[in-house]
Amino acid sequence: MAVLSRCVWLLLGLSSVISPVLAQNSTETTTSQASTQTSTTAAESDSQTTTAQSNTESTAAPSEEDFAPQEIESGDALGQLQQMAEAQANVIAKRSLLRRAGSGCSASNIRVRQEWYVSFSSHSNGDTDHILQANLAQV
Amino acid sequence: MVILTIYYRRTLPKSERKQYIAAVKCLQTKPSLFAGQFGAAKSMYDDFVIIHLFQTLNIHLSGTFLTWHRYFTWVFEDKLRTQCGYTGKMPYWEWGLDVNSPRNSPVFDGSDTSLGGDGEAITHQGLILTEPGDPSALLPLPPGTGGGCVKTGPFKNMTVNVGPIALSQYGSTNYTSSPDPLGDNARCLKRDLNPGVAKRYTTFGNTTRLILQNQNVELFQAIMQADPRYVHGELGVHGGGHFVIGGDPGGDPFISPGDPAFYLHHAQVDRVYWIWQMLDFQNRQVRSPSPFLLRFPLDAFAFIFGPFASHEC
Repeated sequence: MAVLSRCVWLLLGLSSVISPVLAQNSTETTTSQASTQTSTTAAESDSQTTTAQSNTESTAAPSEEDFAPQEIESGDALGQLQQMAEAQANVIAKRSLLRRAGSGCSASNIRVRQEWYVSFSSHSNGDTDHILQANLAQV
Repeated sequence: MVILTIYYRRTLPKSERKQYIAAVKCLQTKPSLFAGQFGAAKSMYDDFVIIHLFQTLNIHLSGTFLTWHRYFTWVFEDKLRTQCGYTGKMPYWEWGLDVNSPRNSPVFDGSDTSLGGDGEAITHQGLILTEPGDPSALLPLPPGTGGGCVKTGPFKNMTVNVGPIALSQYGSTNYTSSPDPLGDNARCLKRDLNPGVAKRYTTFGNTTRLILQNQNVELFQAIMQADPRYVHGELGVHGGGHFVIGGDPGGDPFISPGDPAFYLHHAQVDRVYWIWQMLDFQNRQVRSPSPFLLRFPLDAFAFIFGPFASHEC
């Protein structure tokens, strides 16, 4: 029972690692299909990504029943808890990187956004390179 | 939202231990920001002791305990890096590995890669602590294995400058206080490593149950600190670790950062807090609702810590 419970916890933890990647792919598809959409759409897409990530996070923390008494006394349980904590920290670090990179931006949808700005600048006779650089700095 | 990314490692290479020790010694040569204000302020290292001293009544048995000490330890680490060029990881002391013989721990074995050895062995009784808020509730501890000045390892010649303020005396409930804790009180570093306290309060079982049994931050921090409004006759892993080190300043809650081991102990406190947070990150990013929710009124401390505490803090 204890082992089963721990496996469920780890699987839930694993799903939260995978979900940002799935969400990223979803965002990419949406953005690619609608390359002429405005940045408002990108913001909505970011919001959906965040929601998808949050839903996978409602995991219950492990409890004393998940470990045998000898595991608790020997330090084995603490070692396992540390590994679980590191897995979660990796999720947070990955998500933080994704947010900083424009929330799920991939090479293809970064290119799409660049194209959109080129299009905008050509209509407004703006400085294309300047706007491109500013956009790149944001992502 | 700011996320502090913290990495922990179980073993610090010996070269990195030496670099860390050198950086702490370096900080003990840097000018104090309080120079000229307090006679005890001899170096930037003492500044940390003085800051902790001034904040003691707000940051223990209160909702600020975990986050304040996280920040305090991080600033210390930052000063090691920016003032003294430390490039390694912030080390922590895993209490559970050393419960049977703290003096054989790589942290305290007196080798040149330790933080110094046990104090010189002197015959003494154990401490008799009193519960904050109830001086009639006694918590007797077994005597440790040292008690005298640290004579081995990198900090064998270290000078302690600040305090004491509330240093428990062996065999009684009395405290030793300097009439001028911030004056020039130069003395040796003492330790009284205590396997009896370790076996009772800082085992792997103590740490693991703390993490697993307490589902909200109020209980987690209260049990970690053995807040007497929640538990009696306990020290918690936090207090337990401090009294495994013991001595002067290690056994004085106001000035315990005066022992370099303080920072490894509190890095472990923070590690345990970090593990607990990560196991339910969505719900464990908050501290207790009010910084003062769990704070004792000052007069609860006054009869324990004397007039200095009640008038100056």
